[in-house]
Amino acid sequence: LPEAVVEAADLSSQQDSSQVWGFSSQQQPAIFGRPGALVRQPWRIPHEDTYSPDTSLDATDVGGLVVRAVSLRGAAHRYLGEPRQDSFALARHSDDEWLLAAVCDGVGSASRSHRGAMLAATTAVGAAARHLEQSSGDAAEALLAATRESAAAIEQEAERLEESPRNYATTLTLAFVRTEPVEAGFPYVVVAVGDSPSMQLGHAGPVQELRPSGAADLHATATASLPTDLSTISAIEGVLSPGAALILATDGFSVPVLNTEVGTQIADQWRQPPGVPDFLVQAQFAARSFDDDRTVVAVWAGSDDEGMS
Amino acid sequence: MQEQVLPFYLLCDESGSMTGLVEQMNNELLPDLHHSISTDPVVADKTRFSIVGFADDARCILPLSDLSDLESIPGLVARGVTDFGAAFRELRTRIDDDVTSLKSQGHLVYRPAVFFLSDGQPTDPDWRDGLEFVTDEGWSYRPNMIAFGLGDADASVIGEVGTFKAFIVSPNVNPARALTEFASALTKSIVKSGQSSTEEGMTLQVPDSIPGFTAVTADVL
Repeated sequence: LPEAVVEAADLSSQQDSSQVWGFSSQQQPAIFGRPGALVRQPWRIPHEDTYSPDTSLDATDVGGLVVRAVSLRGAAHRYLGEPRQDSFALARHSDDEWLLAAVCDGVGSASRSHRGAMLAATTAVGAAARHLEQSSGDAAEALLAATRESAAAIEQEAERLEESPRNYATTLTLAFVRTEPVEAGFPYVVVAVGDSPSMQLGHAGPVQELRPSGAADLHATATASLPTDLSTISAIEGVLSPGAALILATDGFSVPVLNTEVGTQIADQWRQPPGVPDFLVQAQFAARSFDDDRTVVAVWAGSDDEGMS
Repeated sequence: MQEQVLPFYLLCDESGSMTGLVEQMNNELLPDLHHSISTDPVVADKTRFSIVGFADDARCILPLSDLSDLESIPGLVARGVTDFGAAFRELRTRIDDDVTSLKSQGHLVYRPAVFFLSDGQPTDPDWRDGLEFVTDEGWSYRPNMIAFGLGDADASVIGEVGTFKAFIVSPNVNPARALTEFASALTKSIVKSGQSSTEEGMTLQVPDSIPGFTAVTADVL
């Protein structure tokens, strides 16, 4: 055994971790304020009929975009041994012309919302990709159609298992981003049911929430959810400037980031795309009482002068 | 660093007729509640608890506190009559001060929940003026009130006080058992609310039925 330890140490010293794609450095999650009791508690795995892991992590470069995505259980679900009710899914065009991302936050009081969130995210990006591949139609139309198909898929699943569709209630935020710039930047479209917000981070300043351009009543959107309440679907269309990031998240991430000093640190850390393990660690910041599941998909628009293309 | 805070208030009758129940509360039920909340890390990290007692007058027995910071919590003292109006006026003052203070520290404060318990009729004739003070829709910190009536309490009065939910003790239920069920409902509500996380943040969770009690519905009003 001592030999094995020596060998492992030698191995690590011979490797420059920054040469491995996605890896640049190692650090511990930041603790904001007084730690609270929950941060010290061990995780418990759920006793579910269908296993779902604590954390889902992904990353890619597609066209001029750099993508980091993570969904992780909050401290409460980790302690209580309950499944993650958040989910995300990604898809890209077969010729890398666009990227799709979905973020879902299962409604806490709905008993199967963890399944609803998972199903909604994967169905939404799959359906949107199909619509976009099959027709050169409007991106917003494709996202709206995919949102409705996602709701229908949940209803079918509920029917199959003889459950109430309301038990699967989840938010859905679905985004389309072009992978190559058109004049000023990278055009994007986001449609959302419920309150998982879209945000933007620029070269300077804080993470800022993007407001729907339509006259959507924000209070009304807060209660909307798939599959039964599609009464309010908000839409945002914009252009991502080179170097800026479009951030889709659930409120477990957005509430502390938009309302507390956590946001200042995240803005500093994510001005440039972090390495994949760093991104995971940074999203795991500990802040007392902010114990909800967290999901964040961040899409940086590359620019030549920053070497991100 | 800012935190999310869900404040709970126990607004408890300390009139002379409560003597036996006050002892049970001090010796058994409040220590149990303290233990349950302070040892549940999910709940301890975001709930705060305060006790206001009322009889001839109203007084704050436990300022709004993080129960995991306390070794023990002070008890109630049975004394005097049942001045509802004084109770509600003190409650409004406490909530105004507490929420203002928490917000000035940058905390995200959720609407307070008040568990009101009385075993009698209000002895002050103008108690409804006090009640309007805490149910005032123009008051942005207006709490959710959950009212419980024991002993001689009147169902319609309890129904008026319980703007969120109201419960009156069922016939032939032993007062000690009813009080135990009340304390259990209070503890469970704090735990379930602290564990809830929805699109709107935390939401107050109170069961629709509580053993030993009958829910007072709007029809009774």
